[in-house]
Amino acid sequence: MSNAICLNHPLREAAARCTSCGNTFCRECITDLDGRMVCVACHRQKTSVKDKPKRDWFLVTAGLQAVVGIAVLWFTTWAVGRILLNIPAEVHEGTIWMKFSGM
Amino acid sequence: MAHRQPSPLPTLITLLEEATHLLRRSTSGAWLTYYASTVPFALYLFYFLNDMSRSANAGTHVLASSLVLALLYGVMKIGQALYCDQMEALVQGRQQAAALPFRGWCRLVASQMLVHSTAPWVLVIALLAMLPFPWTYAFYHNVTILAVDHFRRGAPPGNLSGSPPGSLTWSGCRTPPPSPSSSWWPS
Repeated sequence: MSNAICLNHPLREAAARCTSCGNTFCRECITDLDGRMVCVACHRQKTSVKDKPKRDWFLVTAGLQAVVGIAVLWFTTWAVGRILLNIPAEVHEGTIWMKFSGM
Repeated sequence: MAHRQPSPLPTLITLLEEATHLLRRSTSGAWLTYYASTVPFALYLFYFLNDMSRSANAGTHVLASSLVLALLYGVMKIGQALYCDQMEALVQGRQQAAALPFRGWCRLVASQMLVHSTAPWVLVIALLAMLPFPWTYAFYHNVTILAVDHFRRGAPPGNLSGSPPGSLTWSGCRTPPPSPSSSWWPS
């Protein structure tokens, strides 16, 4: 180790060996990762979070929109049906006026 | 006394003439799409109203009957969107419309169902609350008219249904409707 030089800085004496790639580095180029000495490149490689593939929620959102739409429409038409059902038959028959005229 | 500047917008009569001519120029396929989706809803609506008003046993099947009516309403809106796309193609001078991709179909069905399901409630509220009813009414029609071409170009649904009422106009098309002197108007 006494004659080893830094991989990144050839004029500097090596201070430690990377436990991951095995190359020698100076104090500036080596760092600690979970109690192990690693170089900056290996540190970056081990700590970088890989981007997960983005989930495609297209079918879920489109299906949900359609289902919600049908549900609201269903409720609307059901409400119209219930209103019509609750209207007295005399109104539909056109004989409601007889109640008021005493006939 | 200041003179009134002539409006650059077409007059009401001009718009009516253009609309009438556009309807006359619609293809039989477009009309078939329109009637195949609208007539079932119209017929079932009459049946539904009559059944709920006069039938003694209507209460037993109101749930199922209202579901059929809701589905037919949605089908009608999708059919009208397809019909409007063919009319728009006529206005824009498109010879052969590109096929709607699978995602476009899904978005079309979902958007028409979701947006138009709110129409009966929102329109009644707009009318009673003295909100700008014409703009609200125009919004729902524009969602139908511009939907197919919007989704064919792969645009997200938020741009269509999230637009404020009245903002979805002909300016949203790639080309504005031509004047009577343009190619689709008879010389």
